[in-house]
Amino acid sequence: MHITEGVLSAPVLALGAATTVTGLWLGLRRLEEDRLVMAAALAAAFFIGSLIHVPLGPSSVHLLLNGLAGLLLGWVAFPVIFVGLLLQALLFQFGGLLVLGVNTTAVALPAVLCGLVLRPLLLARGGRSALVAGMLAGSGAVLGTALLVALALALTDQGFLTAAKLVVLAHLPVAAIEGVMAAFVVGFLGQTRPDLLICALPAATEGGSPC
Amino acid sequence: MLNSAPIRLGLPTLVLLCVTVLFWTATTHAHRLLIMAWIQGDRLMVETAFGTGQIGANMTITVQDADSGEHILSGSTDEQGFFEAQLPATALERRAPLLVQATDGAGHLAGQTIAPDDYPMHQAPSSPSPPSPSVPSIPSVQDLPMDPTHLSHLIQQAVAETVRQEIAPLRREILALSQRGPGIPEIIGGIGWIVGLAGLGAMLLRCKPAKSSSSR
Repeated sequence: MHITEGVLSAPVLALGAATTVTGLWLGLRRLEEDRLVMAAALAAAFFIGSLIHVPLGPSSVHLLLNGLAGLLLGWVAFPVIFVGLLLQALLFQFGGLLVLGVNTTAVALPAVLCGLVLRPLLLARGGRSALVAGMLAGSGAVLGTALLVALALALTDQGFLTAAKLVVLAHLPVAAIEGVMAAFVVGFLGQTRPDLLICALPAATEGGSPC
Repeated sequence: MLNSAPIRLGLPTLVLLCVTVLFWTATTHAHRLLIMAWIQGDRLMVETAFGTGQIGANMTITVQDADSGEHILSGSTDEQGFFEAQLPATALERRAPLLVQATDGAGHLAGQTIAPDDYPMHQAPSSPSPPSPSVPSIPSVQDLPMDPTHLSHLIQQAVAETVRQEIAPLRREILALSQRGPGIPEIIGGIGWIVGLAGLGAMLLRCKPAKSSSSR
């Protein structure tokens, strides 16, 4: 989901940039050495995910895989998604550098929110509730991203309902696909590496979130 | 524990998806909106398509003076991703540089500037001619007044329209080819950057405790 350069107004771009800088600061503060490999793997998955297109109507949409990053990494999803979008802008000319802040916020913020809300469900260590958390995070983050993109477009020059209709409806199939994919990944991790899911949970010692 | 049956089914699918993604990129390309605009006679022609090769149907087209920003005309593409409109006489006379933009309202935008040099050298008169002249509508030679100028103009229009229809698929191909989709080198390069950044991050995080312990 990349808004092209030249579409949004300056205030919207500035708001997106400010949110992204804040998210990056929070994410980098929580990025610890033992999470680095998973963060890089999810950044690579997000980077490649945008190449899988789903032709839909006159346009085409692509996978995001942001829900999984938010669920497993929390605030660290911000730098992960920022790196993916930055490389896509530089290498493939998707989106652009000026609009990078808005695009990062649109993709990362819903992912982080889904992660913060749904991570307690991972306590079941790979049980059915973890699968539900994966599915909800996968589809919820995509729908949240579509809503934020619609909001950014609406703040610039058109009605929210028109933009939301165009963007959200186009991403309903992507939300369904990503929900299923995230549930599979969470289920697999629950069976093989439950420690990675536990790592995503709030730290027991400080009562806060290390992720 | 989890019900492992769906995972056993889904995991190979996921792995297959990840492994084969590199080979899909040749056909998927980016879904950037592409635009091709030109002036034919006194009419502006615009064609839109996505980098995937899909037709850009129902795209909103706006045309403005690239220098002054003055709005010249607007409209939307048809089901074939095509837009055609007569340019105002004032714009034609002053050979204004035109900024033609197409958007789908969902964050995709494409633009092209038509420079004064790109105007046709010999402009057809902006007389009231049918908006989309087609070959069958040409009156027979017997019905025409024997005015060589008029006859020549009609023949020119008919030939131009026929050529336009004939090269339409070719134009769309050129439009799609004008976008170079991400290839395997770019994708592998991107993953390399991510691995490198992770390595850099690991190095910085490793250095942190060493610094703090040495300062103690």
